Amino acid sequence: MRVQWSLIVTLVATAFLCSGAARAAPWEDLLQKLYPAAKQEGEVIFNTEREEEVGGKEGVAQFQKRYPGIKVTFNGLAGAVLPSRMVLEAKTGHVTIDAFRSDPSRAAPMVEKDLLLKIDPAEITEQPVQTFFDDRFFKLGDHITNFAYNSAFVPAAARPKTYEDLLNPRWQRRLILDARGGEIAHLLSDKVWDEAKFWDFVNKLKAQKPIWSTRNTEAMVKLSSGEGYVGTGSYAAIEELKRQGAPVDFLFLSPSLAQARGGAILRAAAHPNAAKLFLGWLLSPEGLKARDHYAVGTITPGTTLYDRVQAAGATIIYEKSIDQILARDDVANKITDTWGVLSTRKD
Amino acid sequence: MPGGPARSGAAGFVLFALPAAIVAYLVVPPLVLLVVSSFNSTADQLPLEGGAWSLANYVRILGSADTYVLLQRSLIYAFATVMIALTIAALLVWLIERTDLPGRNAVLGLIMLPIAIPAMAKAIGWSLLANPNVGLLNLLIRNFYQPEDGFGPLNIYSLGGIIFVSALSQVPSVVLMIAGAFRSFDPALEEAGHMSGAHWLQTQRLIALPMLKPALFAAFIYYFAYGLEDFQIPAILGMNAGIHVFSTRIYLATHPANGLPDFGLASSYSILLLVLAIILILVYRRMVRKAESYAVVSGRGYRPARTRLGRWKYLALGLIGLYVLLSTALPVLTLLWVSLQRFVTTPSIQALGRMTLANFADVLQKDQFREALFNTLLVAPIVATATMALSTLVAWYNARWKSPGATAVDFLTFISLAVPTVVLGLAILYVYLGVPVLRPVYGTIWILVIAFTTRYITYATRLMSAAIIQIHKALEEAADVSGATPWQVLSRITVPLLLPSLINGWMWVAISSLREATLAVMLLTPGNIVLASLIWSQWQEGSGYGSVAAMTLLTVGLTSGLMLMGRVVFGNALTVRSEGRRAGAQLGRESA
Repeated sequence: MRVQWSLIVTLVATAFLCSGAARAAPWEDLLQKLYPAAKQEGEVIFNTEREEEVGGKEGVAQFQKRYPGIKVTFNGLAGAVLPSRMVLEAKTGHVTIDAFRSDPSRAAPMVEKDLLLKIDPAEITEQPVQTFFDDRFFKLGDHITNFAYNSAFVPAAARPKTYEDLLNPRWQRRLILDARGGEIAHLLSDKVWDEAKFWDFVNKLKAQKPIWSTRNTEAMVKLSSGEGYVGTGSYAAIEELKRQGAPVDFLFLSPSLAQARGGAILRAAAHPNAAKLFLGWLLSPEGLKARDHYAVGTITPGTTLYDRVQAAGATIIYEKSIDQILARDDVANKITDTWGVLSTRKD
Repeated sequence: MPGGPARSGAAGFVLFALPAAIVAYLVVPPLVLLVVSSFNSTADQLPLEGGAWSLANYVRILGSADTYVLLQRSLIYAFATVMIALTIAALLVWLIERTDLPGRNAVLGLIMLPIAIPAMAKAIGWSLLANPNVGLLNLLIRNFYQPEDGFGPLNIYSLGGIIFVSALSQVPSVVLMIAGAFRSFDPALEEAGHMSGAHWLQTQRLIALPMLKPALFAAFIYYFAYGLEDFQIPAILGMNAGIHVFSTRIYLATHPANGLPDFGLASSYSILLLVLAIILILVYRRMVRKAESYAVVSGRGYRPARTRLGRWKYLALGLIGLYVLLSTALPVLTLLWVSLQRFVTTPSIQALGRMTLANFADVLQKDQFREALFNTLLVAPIVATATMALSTLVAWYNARWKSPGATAVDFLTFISLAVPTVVLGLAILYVYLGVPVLRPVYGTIWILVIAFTTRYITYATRLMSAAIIQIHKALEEAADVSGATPWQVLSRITVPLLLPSLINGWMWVAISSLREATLAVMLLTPGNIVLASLIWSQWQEGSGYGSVAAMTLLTVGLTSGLMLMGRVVFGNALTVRSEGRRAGAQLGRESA
């Protein structure tokens, strides 16, 4: 009899546990509502410069396994030409992509022309999410850009610990700087330093005869090959190089800047529901985990990105509003002019 | 030709009016957009978006001292590059076509190899070889000579460095453009010189050089104009060193760090280039005004005489070896090294142990790569065939039927070179998005076919013009008098005689289409990715150069295969060419 009772209890408990395990997480329920309409569309065309920014091949496979019948097609239009192309395509009613990953300042011209779809955040995520432009642009990640070093040439003890350390003569002609000035602009735009100190620093950096670069990839190549010993770079790219065995590491000079990267959907998208589902999935814990593998997620507890920032004891400045971003862009433009490597400033 | 197209009705239409219409269709819209855009204040808005008519862009660039620095530097860059390339190319072609150099076919194959390597790859290769800090060549040199400051002594990030890489890069194309002239040169003319007591150098200076002048000058003009517009090598090696030319400045104006591109500024810079190109065309036309005097292919057969090199052949082979080493072997080996490493690093024992094929495996697994490969294999031959057909007809009519219409069409084909690639890409985007009936072409591979044909029609027409000028009109006149239709004259006389140039041109256009990144990226949509746009995108924002190097090497393999195939066809073509000449002579006799 006792055996029978214990068997019944075990069965009931197992059934209860199983039902609990099978119960979908809130985000899954939410996205499941979008699935039928998305499936009907059958495809989402997403513009991103790197597949890793949306979880790479594995991430996309995960999405397609969870939502069969929806193909994810990538388009690799560069960030610099994305706004003008979208404005142009929208003007003629021939939009070729559904959604894109970019930064808010790239999205700004599209917002100005009312090309982006306004989405109720509750429709695609049950988590709090930072949005820009009145829910037209959803923050997907914190893109940390700062300085890194080549550990084969720079012993740990000698690595720069502050921004001022970059002015050490030992880095002369060995310092890789992005000529666009984005990695240091926040020191002025976010009022870390005053004008005098900042511009003195900018001029002294130029006097270091840096190795200029205009793209992150290029800066990384110059760093890993030892052409430069210390240089600007994104945390994600450095992590990728480290995974591949390159003797490089990130510096997190304080305060470091976490640039907002996000996603948006075109109003004229051919597959708006599939795009919403994909964007929602990218914001979900599963999507975040896939992106965290490539260090392109948000700095939130539970992510390796968060742990790494904590371990480094880094102070991070986050981008919270478009005004803050535009102010930084403005400083970056002035740095570009001061350094004079790229003279693109409009009169 | 004597009767001209007017005489021949439908055939005349197909042979002249249709190609003229196609050329106008390809070239005029970008030019119109360029001019309109330059007179519009288009900062922060797109061309034709309704900006007021204004001279502001011109005031801005002409009032800036920076423009004159750009102009001076662009002219120096274009002139030095073309002079170096032309000198090397002329020497190489002379050795192959006019001397008894051993292994001439193999040498020609080796000389043409750099054409298979994208300019971007050469620039990346050389940046790793000769950057002043850890460039491999600098590391080697420093074992014997230590510069005072510990850097260099070579610095590829300099105007000299950019000119060096660009010149090496241009040599094969220049060889293709002038080879026909050296090959077709009747040795009887040189023999006459010798008979009159002139020594070898005098014969070359007084007879050979003047006869080759149109081809050499055509190549000079074309590559000088090309140099003014050339973008990839100055961008990769010069932009970061603050060494700007017009093309990189135009690129920066159309690729701002934020906001919308400033097309007005880009267009007005382009108009300056256009003015320079027009001057070059006028000079060129004046030069070849009496084209018939340069005709060296007549109904009379000849056997090319070759100068005996004797012991000089070792020096010649040594120089060829040096050229192949610098233009092909070093950049390709660097690319190979990068492709076999997970990250870019200088060669060492440790790095040797890390060699892996992972980059190739990654690339081959990519769906995008397979799609790009398929599209590339489709686009390249279509572009080559369309471009060569069009340019042959345009060049033929311009050479044989000196009417203002033919001249205008030829002029149009040349002037398209002056439209910077970035601006051309934008203009094509506008036309195919703006005109509803053309909209279905947007986003397909056909927009690439149109863009590439527009881009390469200049080179192809110059190549075919240089070849046609050398064919004596009497051959065609004989056929005409015998009652042959224009189509018969073209297909039975002219085309067979032009076949080597046609095949060379076809190969050049096909290979250039395989490598054309700027236009492919400008017109990139999910439906028309090609290898060049995939490689460029990865180079711009990818995670490393490993996959870029792997993809580039696969492309180099593909283009080399195409060139090998071309060599086989080229061999046959020589026979066909002889047959063409025989056919011409036969028709000439019949008419007599």
